Amino acid sequence: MLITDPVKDFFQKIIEERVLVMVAQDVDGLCACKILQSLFKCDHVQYTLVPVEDKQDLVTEFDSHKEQYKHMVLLNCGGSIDLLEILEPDDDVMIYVIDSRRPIDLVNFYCERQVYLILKQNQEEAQLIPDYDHIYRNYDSDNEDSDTEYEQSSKRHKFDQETLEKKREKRIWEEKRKEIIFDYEEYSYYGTSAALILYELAWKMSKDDITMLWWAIIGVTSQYQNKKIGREKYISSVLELQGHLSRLNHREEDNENTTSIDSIKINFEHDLDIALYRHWSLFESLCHSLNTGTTFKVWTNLGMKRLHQFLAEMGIPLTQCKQSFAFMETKTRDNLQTLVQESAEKFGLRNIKFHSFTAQCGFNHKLCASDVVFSVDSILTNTESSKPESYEDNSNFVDALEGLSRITSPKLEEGLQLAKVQLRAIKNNVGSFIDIGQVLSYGPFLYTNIKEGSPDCTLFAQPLFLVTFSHFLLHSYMRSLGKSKRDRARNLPLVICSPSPQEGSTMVVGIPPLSEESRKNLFGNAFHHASERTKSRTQHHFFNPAIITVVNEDRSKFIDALITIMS
Amino acid sequence: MFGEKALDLIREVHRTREGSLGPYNEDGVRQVLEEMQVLYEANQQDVAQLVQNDSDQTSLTAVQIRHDSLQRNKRCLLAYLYNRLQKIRALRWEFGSVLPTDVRGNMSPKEIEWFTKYNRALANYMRSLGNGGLDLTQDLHPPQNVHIEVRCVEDKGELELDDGSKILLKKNSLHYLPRSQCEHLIRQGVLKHVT
Amino acid sequence: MDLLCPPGGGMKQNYLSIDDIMMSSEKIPSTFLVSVKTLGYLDPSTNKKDIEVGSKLDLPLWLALSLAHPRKKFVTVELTKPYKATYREILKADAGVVNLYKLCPYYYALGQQQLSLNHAEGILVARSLILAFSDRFRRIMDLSGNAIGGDNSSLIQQFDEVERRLFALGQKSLQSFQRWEVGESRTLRTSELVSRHRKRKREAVD
Repeated sequence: MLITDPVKDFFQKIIEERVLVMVAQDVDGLCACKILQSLFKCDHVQYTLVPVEDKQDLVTEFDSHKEQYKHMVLLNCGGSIDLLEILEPDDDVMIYVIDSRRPIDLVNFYCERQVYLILKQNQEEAQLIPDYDHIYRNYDSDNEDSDTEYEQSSKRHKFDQETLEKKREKRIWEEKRKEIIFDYEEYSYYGTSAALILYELAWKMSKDDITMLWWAIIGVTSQYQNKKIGREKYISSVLELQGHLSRLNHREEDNENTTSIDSIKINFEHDLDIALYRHWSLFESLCHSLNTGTTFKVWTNLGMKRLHQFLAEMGIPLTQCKQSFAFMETKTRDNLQTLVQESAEKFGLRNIKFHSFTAQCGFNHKLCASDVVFSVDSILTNTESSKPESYEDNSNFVDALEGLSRITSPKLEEGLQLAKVQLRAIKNNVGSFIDIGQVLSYGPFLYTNIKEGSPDCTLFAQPLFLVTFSHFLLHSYMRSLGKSKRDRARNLPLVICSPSPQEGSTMVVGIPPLSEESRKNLFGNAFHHASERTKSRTQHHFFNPAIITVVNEDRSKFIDALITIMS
Repeated sequence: MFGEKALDLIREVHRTREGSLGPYNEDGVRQVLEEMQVLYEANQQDVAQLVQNDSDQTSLTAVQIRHDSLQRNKRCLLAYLYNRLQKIRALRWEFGSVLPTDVRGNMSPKEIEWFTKYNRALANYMRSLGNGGLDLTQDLHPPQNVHIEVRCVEDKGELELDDGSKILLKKNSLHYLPRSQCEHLIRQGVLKHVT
Repeated sequence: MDLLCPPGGGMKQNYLSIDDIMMSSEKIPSTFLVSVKTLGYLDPSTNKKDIEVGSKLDLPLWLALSLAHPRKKFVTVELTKPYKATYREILKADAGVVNLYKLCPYYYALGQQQLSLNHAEGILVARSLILAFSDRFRRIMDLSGNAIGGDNSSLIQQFDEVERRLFALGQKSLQSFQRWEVGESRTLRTSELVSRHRKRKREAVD
């Protein structure tokens, strides 16, 4: 059920309790978690925090903790699955859900107890949910349980006119209901960032500060950067954040003498949308960014040439471009944004700049919100535990939280290096995939397959990485096509298969077509139907419904079914 | 030279001074005691002769050498035992009142007895402080917060808190708990303090 | 085993000190002025039953100190090699480059102890010890207060035990200062004994 006053109905309720927090392992969830942690710290709320990776994890963690905790908070997970069904909580267990995944499961939304959803206030999101009357309906019949009513199959055999009429009406209603539910559940997409929702909660209680705002910014940026939300949604969230920022900054100005240089300062900026450029060299950054890399087609010789032309056009010497950004000439560095923007148009680079935030602490280099997202993302997908000094096996989750905790955290720096490694892997693989024509058109969608034993296999087994890679690949593929083909392909989604960490199975990921601005993804549903139709042995255990695993033998028939369904 | 065996014991302590408690060298101690027995008996003999015939200065030197060696051996043995006890006492404050079995296995029966007595003495003393006692092993550094954030390093099962509620200590889960509840566990390496 | 009570304080102050016991086992070249009955086996170079007058033997310091006592005068002792004129000259030239540990792990302490044996050169040895220490101390201080993380083991190997102790102390305070700077000094940590114990256990498992 929806909570209308989260301060009263959520925070005040749990403030006296011991709380279990379960967090999905994505950047937004972690940011939300950081905000919640500091809120808990303010009020000495004792909590336990566990990371959950998929639905199975959620159930296991729930089961092992349900004896001790009666109040659970789910961050960025659980909203789109029927929690009452899969968790089977005892009557005294309260579950609070803050999840950016959509669509929200209707049972979660309409149930009267135990599951509480916290959504963004005054927003159209709740309006998207079908009316109660369209889905649930109480018939006069007494012996029918209202919960399972719509599945009721046994009917009393009466043949009088009235009953027939009723039956007809009911059938119509049921058909309509089916349609509504189908429409509602057809696409999976993302709503407001969980971090932002929690930040607003903090703000309502006047407990927000600049660090919490920074986390909210990172949460929103991660959604945009990982292509979970479209530009429009991003900008509306950013504007909101900017409002909060100027309010907080204004408050700081009033007592200007007391602010130390070591406190965190956030600025709203119109920044270049290229990866990690403040921590890399300009050249590398241009090569490895989704936007510039694909526009120039850096995997071809010609593309490289064009990139060099671009740099020449800007008038920045190559030696400077290839050295670390921090050591570039100050003058060039200061003018970089204008230089890039001026030449960008000529080379067909669109959206090279975007609205973003930077943070600074002390005299350290500026840190862009997107840098942090790259860093934390790569920590989360870190596959090799290359930590020589600590013999303890650290978990990526803990490392990522540590990276978020301070902007001067050494873990963040480590993450930046990891991110570079991953971006290089993406670029190299994209290049070779395009070169040998690995992306095939299957009619209703594009298809590609990562072979077992390919060099970056361990990375590809990470769902987060695989999704990022697919977006890169789709963009690059589009650029590699001729004009006419490109227009058609813009409307095609991409399905990518990769060896799963589970022996003998394949991970299948679907991403929406480029033309889909709102990033709605229809694969969740399509995968379900395809597997039902072919009785393939599939597992839909990820929170993201557009990622599943299929047993290897069933893969081809599954893909065939997918083609039929979607054409 | 006399005292070599005893010196070996000392070297052993010296080698492991940074590490944890080494195994109690029962054999080494016995050998030193045997050497002392021999020295003592030889001296007794010589002294008895000296008393009869006090003109013989040469055996006096031998007595002096043996006597010095006896003293030296005694010093080494005492230092060996004393330094081990120092370490055992430190164990009480770091591991708590129950020692891991392999650490216990390195102690002699007398040492275990001493540890138990020390434990009891400490517990009695702590109980006698203030109203209802005071845990001296707590808050060795002045606490800054009532609650702290900790990460669980190993699966440790359920932990029962003072208020009767239980929490599950599972590897890599994070907890926000009263500091007093987890200080021991941090010192024992079950939890890690996250800042 | 404090710095306040360095090895060399002798039996009275440091009766239970491991360092002092180790130090006092260093060998001192001695010559017997009297013969010793039946203890000939202490001198491995002969098979005689007794130690004869004039026989030379390396006695451990604890025994030498007792036998050379002015009241007894059973033996006369020589200065050990690292304190003789040649080495004093080397130390005078540049004490910083000498591997003191190799000369004697307890160089200063042993030197001090030998002073009480009334050598003619006693005063020279004392002066040389002070000079060498003050000369080297500056460097140790500098190194321990500034070097972080680097591998200094080759340098540390040249320090005598007291110097090593000083160095470690400096390093420790530097580390705790740095921990304080980043606000980490408040962090509760696994006790060192425990973590060492665990590490060893883990190694044993691997």
